[in-house]
Amino acid sequence: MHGIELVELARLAETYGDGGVRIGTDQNFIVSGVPEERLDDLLAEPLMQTYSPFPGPFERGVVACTGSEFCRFAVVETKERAVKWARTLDAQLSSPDDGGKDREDAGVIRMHFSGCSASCAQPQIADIGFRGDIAHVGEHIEEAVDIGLGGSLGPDAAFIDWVVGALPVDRVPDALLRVVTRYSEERRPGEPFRLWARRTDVDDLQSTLAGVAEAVTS
Amino acid sequence: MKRYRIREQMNGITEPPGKVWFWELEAGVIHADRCIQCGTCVAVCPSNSIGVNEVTDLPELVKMCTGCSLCWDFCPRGGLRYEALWPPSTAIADEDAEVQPEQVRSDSSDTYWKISGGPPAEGLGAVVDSYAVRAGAEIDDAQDGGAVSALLIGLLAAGEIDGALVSRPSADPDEQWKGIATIATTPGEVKAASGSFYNQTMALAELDLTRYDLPPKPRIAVVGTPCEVQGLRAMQARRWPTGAHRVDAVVLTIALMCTKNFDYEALTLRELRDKRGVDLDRVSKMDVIRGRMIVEYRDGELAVDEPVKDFHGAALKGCDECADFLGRSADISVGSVGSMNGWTSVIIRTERGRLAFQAARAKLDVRGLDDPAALLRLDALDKKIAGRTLQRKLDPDAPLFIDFDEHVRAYEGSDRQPVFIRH
Repeated sequence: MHGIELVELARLAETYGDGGVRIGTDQNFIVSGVPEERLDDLLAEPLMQTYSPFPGPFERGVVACTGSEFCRFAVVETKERAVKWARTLDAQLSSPDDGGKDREDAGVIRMHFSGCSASCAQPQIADIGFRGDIAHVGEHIEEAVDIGLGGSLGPDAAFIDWVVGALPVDRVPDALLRVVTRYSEERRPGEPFRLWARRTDVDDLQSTLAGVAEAVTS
Repeated sequence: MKRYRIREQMNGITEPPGKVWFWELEAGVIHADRCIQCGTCVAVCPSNSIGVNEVTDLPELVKMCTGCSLCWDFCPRGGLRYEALWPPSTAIADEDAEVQPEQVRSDSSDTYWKISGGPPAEGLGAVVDSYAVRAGAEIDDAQDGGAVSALLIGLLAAGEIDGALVSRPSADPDEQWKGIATIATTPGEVKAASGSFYNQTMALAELDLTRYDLPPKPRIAVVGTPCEVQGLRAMQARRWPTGAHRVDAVVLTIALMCTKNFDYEALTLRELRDKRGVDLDRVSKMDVIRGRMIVEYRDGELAVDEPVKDFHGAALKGCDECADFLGRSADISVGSVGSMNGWTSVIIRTERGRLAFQAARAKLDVRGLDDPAALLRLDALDKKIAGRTLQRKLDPDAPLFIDFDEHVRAYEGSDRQPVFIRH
């Protein structure tokens, strides 16, 4: 979110609620004290179209550190990309064929994006974790991410395994679409993403993310 | 130690293949005793996480490593295939031929110059002009012709640069004749830095210009060894948001022709002071010329005049692997070989170098190079040594970056193999 949007959010909180805005650990905001009768008007506001109270499973769970925009440790830009990737994947899951059933079933699929190897966005406990890196592309260097899969908190808590290293960022959306498509096709009834990722062979996941079984090194 | 359990668990996370951290640079270069102390790793680190150890003068991690791999990628003894930076050589004219070959101009001033192309390993490299040069007015304690000092003073006077990265003598009484990297911003500071110091200074680390009083968009000339120029040119060409180090401010690179450099303690303290009884307080000049180490006292007495071979044990091991005696990546290369005593050989390699030389020409005496063949002979010897010690093929046409795994495969089993020390 940009500053101007936060100002608008504050206006909405004062106009429709009790003036309070809370921020969740998963980087979602909560407008408190909105009476039932004012809800429809609030939901009709333009900001609510950008930041829907009914996000898809990816947008709901996306978390990013501040990234290279403000942090010297970060190797790559994170926030804009994280949201863009989440929305791309949500659009993929809400295919008109199933009336959005997959989207509902999936619940939340957490994507956590740290701009470097530090844990500010806690990528180790995400279904899909990203960590900023650098890739060699021909004679040049480009922004890239390491991608890990299968982490979570809760009763079946586990850290992710880093599956692919230094994938150039412009290749990430397609890589994610491939892995999410596989998940949609192979998941058992009610099976969350993290459990599917854990039971799938790492080499197999690596091939899916890389597109082919090509070597990608930092 | 129950409270560390989570850290241990997280350390056990599977890493992706090919992930490179500072520790790979440590293993492949620093602990393998191959570091040439150019300072590229310090300058390239986006998070300013690499510093210089005060005791060893070697790079060390001072903050968190983010695993971006840049320190490995740009290290001339690590992931940087330094010879791939060489622009095409200027063809040597055949006087008997009816049609003279077209002069190949280096385009290495361009941000994204194509890296190799001609036969870069032959001849003197890219040559726009070559001269023997000395300072128009004598500069005290200057090396050979004092050409570099005069050139820098001329550029400062002409307003072409705001400062120059050079070596000055250390002010520490325990570090006599130790060169320290500094940005000279006045003619007086340039003069104070004249003459050579035979130790590496982690020079590129000094490109953190915040401690100097410079204009907002400073223009800096860098005078350094060929390896320092290699690291710098690679960083300029493959620009990445950097930390505090202003490689973007460098507008001119001057390479000091170099076959090897030395460890300060091993050469100056152990070999000269302790073994040969050299009184460092009285020394006015150190020089390596025509294969001999010459140390002179201020009263003109020769303190040392010995084959430089006798001092090779004090040389940096990593220098042997460099085949770039001529400083092919620089805008201007300078050295004593190829010119008479009292003159400096100057090879101008780029348009940028030519313009800089022109701007300072009024401060210089200039004539033709005396003996270019001497430069070629020493270059051939330098390459021969590099051919023996470099554990990979010298190949200017190969990719610029070398993966760490590829390096390990090439160096495994040699006396330069990576040394992994568990932290």
